[in-house]
Amino acid sequence: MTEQYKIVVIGAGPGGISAATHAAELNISHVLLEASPKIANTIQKYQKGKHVMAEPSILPLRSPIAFEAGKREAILDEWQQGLLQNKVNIKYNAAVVNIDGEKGDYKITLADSSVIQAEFIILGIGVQGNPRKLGVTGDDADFVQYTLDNPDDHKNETIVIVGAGDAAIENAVVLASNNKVFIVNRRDEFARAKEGNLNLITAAIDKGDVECCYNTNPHSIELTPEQEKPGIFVLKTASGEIKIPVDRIIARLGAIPPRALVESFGIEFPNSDPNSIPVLSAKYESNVPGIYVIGALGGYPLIKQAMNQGYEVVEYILGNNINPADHPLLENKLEHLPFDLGVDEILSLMQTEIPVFTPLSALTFRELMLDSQVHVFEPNIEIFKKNDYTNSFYTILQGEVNIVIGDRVIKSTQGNFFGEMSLISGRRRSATVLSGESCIVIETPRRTMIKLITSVDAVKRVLDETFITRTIQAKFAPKVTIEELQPIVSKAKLNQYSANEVLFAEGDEANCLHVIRSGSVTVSKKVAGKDIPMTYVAANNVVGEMGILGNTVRSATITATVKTETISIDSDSFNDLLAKSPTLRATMELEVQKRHLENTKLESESETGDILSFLMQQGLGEATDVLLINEDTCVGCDNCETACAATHGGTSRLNRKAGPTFAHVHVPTSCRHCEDPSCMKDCPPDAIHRGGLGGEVFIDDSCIGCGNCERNCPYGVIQMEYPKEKNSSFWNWMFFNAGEQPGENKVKEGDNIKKAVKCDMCKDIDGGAACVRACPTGAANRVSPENFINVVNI
Amino acid sequence: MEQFLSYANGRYLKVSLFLSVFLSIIYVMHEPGQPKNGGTWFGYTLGTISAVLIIWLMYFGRRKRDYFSTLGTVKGWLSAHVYLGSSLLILATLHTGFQFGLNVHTLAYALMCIAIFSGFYGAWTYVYLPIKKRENLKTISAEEYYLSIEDVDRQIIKLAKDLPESLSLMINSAIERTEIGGNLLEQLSAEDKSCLIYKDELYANVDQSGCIHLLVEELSKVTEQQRAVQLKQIIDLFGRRKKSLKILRYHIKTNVLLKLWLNIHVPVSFALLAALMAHILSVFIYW
Ligand SMILES: Cc1cc2nc3c(=O)[nH]c(=O)nc-3n(C[C@H](O)[C@H](O)[C@H](O)COP(=O)(O)OP(=O)(O)OC[C@H]3O[C@@H](n4cnc5c(N)ncnc54)[C@H](O)[C@@H]3O)c2cc1C
Ligand code: HEM
Ligand code: HEM
Ligand code: SF4
Ligand code: SF4
Repeated sequence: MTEQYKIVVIGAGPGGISAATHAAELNISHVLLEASPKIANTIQKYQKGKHVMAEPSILPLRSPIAFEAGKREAILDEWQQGLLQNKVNIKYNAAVVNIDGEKGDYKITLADSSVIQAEFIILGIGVQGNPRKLGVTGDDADFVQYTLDNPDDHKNETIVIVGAGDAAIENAVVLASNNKVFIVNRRDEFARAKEGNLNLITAAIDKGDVECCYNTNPHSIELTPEQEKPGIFVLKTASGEIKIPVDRIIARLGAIPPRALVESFGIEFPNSDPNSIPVLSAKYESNVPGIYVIGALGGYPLIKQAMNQGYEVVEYILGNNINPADHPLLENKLEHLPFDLGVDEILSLMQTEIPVFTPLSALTFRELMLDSQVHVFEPNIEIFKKNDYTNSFYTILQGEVNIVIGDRVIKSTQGNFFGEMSLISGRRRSATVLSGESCIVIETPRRTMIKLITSVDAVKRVLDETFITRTIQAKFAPKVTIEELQPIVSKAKLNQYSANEVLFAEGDEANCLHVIRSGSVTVSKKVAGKDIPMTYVAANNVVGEMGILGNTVRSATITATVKTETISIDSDSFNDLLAKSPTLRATMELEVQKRHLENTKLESESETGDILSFLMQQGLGEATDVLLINEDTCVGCDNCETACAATHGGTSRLNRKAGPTFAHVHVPTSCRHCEDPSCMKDCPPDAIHRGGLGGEVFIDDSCIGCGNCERNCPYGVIQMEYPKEKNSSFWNWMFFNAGEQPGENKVKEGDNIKKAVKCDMCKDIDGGAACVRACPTGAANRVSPENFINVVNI
Repeated sequence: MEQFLSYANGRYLKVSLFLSVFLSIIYVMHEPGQPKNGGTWFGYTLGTISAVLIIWLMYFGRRKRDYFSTLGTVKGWLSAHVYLGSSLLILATLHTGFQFGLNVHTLAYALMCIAIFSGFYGAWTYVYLPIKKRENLKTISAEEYYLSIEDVDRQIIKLAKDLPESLSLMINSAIERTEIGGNLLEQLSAEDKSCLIYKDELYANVDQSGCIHLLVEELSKVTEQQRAVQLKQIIDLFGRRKKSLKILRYHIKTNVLLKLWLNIHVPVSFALLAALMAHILSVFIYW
């Protein structure tokens, strides 16, 4: 007899809990299926005692289950209570492996092969995925685990850790101090681990703290309840079987991302981008009727959002057309608009008036508008200035704007967009934009747009085409109309290069030029058989024009320093452009002459080239502003670090000693303010932004301390730190020894959480970068890659 | 990139030179009708300028730690500090009218001179030692040398495991008893106090040579090919160890030199301040 329910909720995360409880509250037959033995697996995995934040704070909570910011344990307790009180029907250890059938009659298969029938399905399985199981007989024993909560709980045990990734290594190393630890590695090296972990584990193995079984696979687990150790782990090595009596087995084999499972249910994703999210209706329904997707899996990365959706989705299933909880927020946002319309009408008006947004689903657009701002401007207000470092995206809902490029003004009208250049290249604004008559514009933050571009192909296409047109017009033919440029634009190509890929090589035939759209390149020449980099060219510049102007072969090799996108224009199109724009040849030739001169100057200095390649190897090609220290003048006083700490609440955001050195150039560990910052990618409250004139990447107060950015930054510059006390005054410290030394503030008492801190380029400090201003010898300097050459060449 | 000495094209060098020359000319020209010393109107002027300069020079210690200050950069301040500080040598000397004796006045003057000369030395270290340091380290950082030593040690220990016990003990003791750093004097001297234990006796192991010597001796005796290879590898590794250690010792020494002088410069400055106050008080009371 299979069980049968109206609503089956899959995944007892915040979204699922809220949905199931609301169903219980309404007396709807339901079950909540949870794969793990406890509720909210994602939150169970937060570090012990973590302070969970309830962002966004302006969003009201709409759920029968309570949720306020607080300790992880307290919140989980409260949820557990809420489930009990509302008599929610929950099944643990019930991982869903398959869904068949259709709306009204779904058959859900669990891992233990039992089947449950459902009319509607709410899918809230989050994005964390499930830990990959050992997959050998006996792996359901209770001494087999997939996480390590508190290493101090284990003493004098024999523990076998399976896996060769960072998690496995970290567990092995901490446990080794109090236990006998083995690590089982399928291969003969730890290839997947981070450099630091690799050193740790090799050291531990060399010292004999951890015993490593290379080229070894788990074979089976035998239970030995009568003996001292509860089990025997049988391993298959290259030379035969070995048996280890164990207290505990910890498998760290990574997680299986949920996408494949979700797709197997028939739910579609717009493209293969790993960050893309399923297409949903405004009522969270997927393309499979009757299956609804909520929470992180549906693209809503915060707890409160997930809980609200849990409530709403049950109402939608019942056919109640309630307004989403974020309705008042939108109402607020749109209040000041001169339209006499309701929120939903305004939203659909926006979608019809603005073609880039037309292809979006209503839900996606709603989400976009929640992040966006709508500005009603008086005429002639500066929306942004040339050389600003902002990177949001603007669409014109009504009226017009004036785009000022040099001495020319271009009008852009209703339905158009602007600001996409900086959005894509991560570089400074290339024009000033002023509001025109009766101007209403929508400003959308970069992260939201990037998410949109990766999930809706139609948007990407429109943006790309416009980008090409505008680039060609701005760079080569400002006086020529868009219509006239059309044939050239349609022949222009968008190219992608990975780091170190060659765009073209010295000696090749010159048949096109490239405008760098994002990323950057180095220009190098062969000197005595060796490629010597001579200069660095950032996004928004042109390369390859020398060859094509002179109709000769390439005089240098161009190599991408990081992932780079260019727009290429072939010789014929370029000749067209030259014909259309009579002054173009002269200006380009001037540019070429300047470059020739620079190149001959650099050619003699091969050390410069070596330093430049060193800087590029350090990933500085994607930097926009980086702290470099000249080792020939640094006296090691660490005043730079102290200055940073003293001006930033007691925690230095730079580590002078760390980081690589080559010749006299040292790259300390400090934020480089990347063009396309990896740290921003996965920040649940979207707390990382790119700022104004300096272009600094900074973290605002809404950080919830999840640590994602710390992990995502490839350069290890983000630290998780407790907030610290304010220091007493200098004179009190000096004369009465009161308080701490400047820059050495005490950690604040009380219940605080570690938050992410990093260099913000002293954006709030008069005078700019404190590290640079505090260096007594002028060794510390902040430089943007365009100026590397000057720094290197002292 | 410009140095602190050439900051703003030597602006403060020019200011100091001008001040010194200008005030010297007045000193030579003026005829006070009494001994030319701190008691004349010009003497008072010079004394006041010098005292103000000293207070300002000491204030540098504050400015250096006032990280929010937008008043110039620390580099600019240091440049001014160095040049205006040096000009005191002329201004204060003129103020004294070359009247020195065994009194608190001359004590103040002497302390000032020590502060200034220690400052000269410090400025020299700031300019030359970083370059020396870098030349010593070649292209990589000190951290990397430490890491490479750790790495070499691991390899040595692994290789030494199946050597005869007396040798492997000796090798382990050589690694364990390698000394680097130590107290201030040891850091400064960069002397190698490493030693090793061989057959229960303690031997010096300067530059790892004791250890290498014993290993070479052993090598000449072995007949087995594999053992010979193993010993050669260990000897090579000790050779690398020796190089890195030497570089690091020099590195540590230079770092100490870069800081040590401030331990004279600053206390002497405070002593000078005290003596100066005594001097000024005494001239007002007793003159
Ligand atoms: C370290 C960290 C810190 C964070 N801190 C905060 C914070 O302070 N504040 C905040 O608002 N957000 C925070 N977040 C984000 C927050 O955790 C998520 O947004 C939220 O958990 C998403 O809820 P969900 O219901 O969509 O999915 P999840 O919470 O991920 O829950 C999914 C559940 O489904 C179960 N499941 C998975 N697959 C199956 C299956 N096949 N069958 C049955 N069950 C299955 C899982 O075991 C899990 O219990 C943080 C995230 C991380 C990683
Ligand atoms: C406000 C600042 C100062 C005042 C008012 C002052 C005042 C005087 C006076 C009045 C004299 C005259 C003594 C005489 O006639 O013999 C004198 C001498 C002297 N001053 Fe100053 N002085 C000042 C600053 C300094 C400073 C900065 C120094 C050096 C560090 C200094 C060192 C001397 C010395 C060495 C003498 C000579 C003492 C002697 O005659 O034996 N004075 N000072
Ligand atoms: C009477 C004269 C002087 C006084 C009272 C004086 C005082 C000081 C003080 C208080 C400091 C701060 C040290 C610290 O807080 O770390 C300092 C630093 C320094 N002084 Fe002087 N000084 C004098 C002259 C000079 C001269 C003549 C020179 C060089 C030619 C000099 C070179 C330096 C240098 C290089 C520093 C170190 C700066 C740093 O590390 O930030 N000083 N001095
Ligand atoms: S924190 Fe890291 S990823 Fe983010 S901008 Fe700085 S260096 Fe780049
Ligand atoms: S402040 Fe300047 S001299 Fe001092 S450690 Fe930093 S870079 Fe080196």
